[in-house]
Amino acid sequence: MKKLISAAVVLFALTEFLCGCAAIEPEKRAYPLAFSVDYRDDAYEVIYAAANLAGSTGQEKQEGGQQSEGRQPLVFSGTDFGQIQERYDESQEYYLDLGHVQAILFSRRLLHRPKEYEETLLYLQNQEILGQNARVFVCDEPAEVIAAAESTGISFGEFISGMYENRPDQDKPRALELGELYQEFYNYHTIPSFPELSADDGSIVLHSGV
Amino acid sequence: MFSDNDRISGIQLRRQIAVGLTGAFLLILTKESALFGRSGFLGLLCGFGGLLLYLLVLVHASASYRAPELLLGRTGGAILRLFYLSYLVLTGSFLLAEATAMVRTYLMPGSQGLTAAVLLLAVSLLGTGSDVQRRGRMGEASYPLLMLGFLVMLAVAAGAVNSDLLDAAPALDGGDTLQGAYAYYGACMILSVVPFLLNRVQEEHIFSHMARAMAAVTLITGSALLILLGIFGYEGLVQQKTPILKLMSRVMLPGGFLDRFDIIWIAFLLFSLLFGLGTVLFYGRTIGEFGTFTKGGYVLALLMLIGALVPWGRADIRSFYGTALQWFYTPALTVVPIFMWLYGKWRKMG
Repeated sequence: MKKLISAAVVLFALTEFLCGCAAIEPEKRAYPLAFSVDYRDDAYEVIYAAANLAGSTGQEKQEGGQQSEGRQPLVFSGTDFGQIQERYDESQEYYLDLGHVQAILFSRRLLHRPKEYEETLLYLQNQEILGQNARVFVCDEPAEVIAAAESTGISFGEFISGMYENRPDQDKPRALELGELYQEFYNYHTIPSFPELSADDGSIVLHSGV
Repeated sequence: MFSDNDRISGIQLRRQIAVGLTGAFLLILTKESALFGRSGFLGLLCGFGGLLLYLLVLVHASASYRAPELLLGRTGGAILRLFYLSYLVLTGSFLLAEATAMVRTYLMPGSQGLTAAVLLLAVSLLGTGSDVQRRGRMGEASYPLLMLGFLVMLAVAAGAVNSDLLDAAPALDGGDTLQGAYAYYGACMILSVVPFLLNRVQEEHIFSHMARAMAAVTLITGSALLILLGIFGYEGLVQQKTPILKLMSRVMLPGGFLDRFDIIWIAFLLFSLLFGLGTVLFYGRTIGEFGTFTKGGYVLALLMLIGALVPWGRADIRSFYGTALQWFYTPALTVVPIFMWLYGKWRKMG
């Protein structure tokens, strides 16, 4: 009897306590499947390519046989990643959840700046929820590449994942993962060869490593 | 099927120890830089050797722990209990803080620390129980699945090991090896509270069971450290905040049917952590409840919650627990059982 009462009291206290204090619900989070990092004009630029959940789950109506438009990528700039996070928090209603990121796009400019490259790796490493199996690529202009994918109605992250997963038997540039970047940088102080993406006539093209 | 005599078997004791410690050791010791590299691995093995001697002392001293007040007097007994309780409060707070951080990052992002900590504590208090036989049965039943899960996960992760990174680890160093040995030995001080329970273990070969439990824990921890070294490299490992959690995000199951494999790993870790938290609470009740005072478990839980969440200046319990363990509790918890054993023998002879 005593145990039952104790359990009931604890349960009641938990119920009262948990009202509104629980974790952020899934529908209140933004899930970018990919994002890019660039460094230009003495500032970092991060573009988040959010998942088009309605489109990919078939819930979005399509009119006249046309592809639905993807969600607009979100662009943020700042002198450091803390500032970028602040700008996101100040302007967006959804909690940023990087736990589903499948691809990260680095600009070639960033790879040629050792200090900023190291800061970027440190920032990525501090995102505990970010998986180290996210694929990484390089390109000249991340905004163009992401826009090319988004114009098809599919999010950039899904597009890139599809390139690797939907045709497993075909030859294509070896995928480079985020964990390998850390491994190369911290142990050998080198930058590995990145597979390259480019936007040619509105289409994304995957090239061998550079 | 089970006799209701408030006692557990040696197998149940063994499995409880393994289930309660493996998760905590994997989460926490894989962040301990003293255990990285060749010296760290050798240190771990040496620490295990020292632990075996310590376990012998604990078993021999257990008679003195049955009723410390009879041996040390009322005041001495109370001081002894308070000493062990202070260690349990600190260790429990530390463990709760680590588990809370993991849960808030991977399972409940955006949640309040207090919410996650209260949930974890409530599950540990209510779920793992205060009844010694219930805990024994729970440990006995969950041991095969949990240990198999850990071994399978590590085996899958081992496929991603790069032998070049193993070869590139720093050369053996005597000083680093000793540091690693002391670090591992210190982590095992949680076993110092087991003598309070040993009179309720119906088994003659208690040392063998405890040694085998710790051998399993050491094997899994050592394997994980080697695999981490082979995947991240020594310098990469030093940079990681929680390498064991990152480890599984590097691994993909064949077929790619699970996008994030690490969630299964986290589930196993969390179960073991919760059992470990429950173990701390159980021993807190065992040590803290004597005479007419029977609320020790709840007081301990409250102190653990406060210790886990209250900031200490700009730091928290995780910043200084290692220092307190290294400089005070490890030497003290080594000396006290030796004293209890020898003093108990002397009093018996006298």
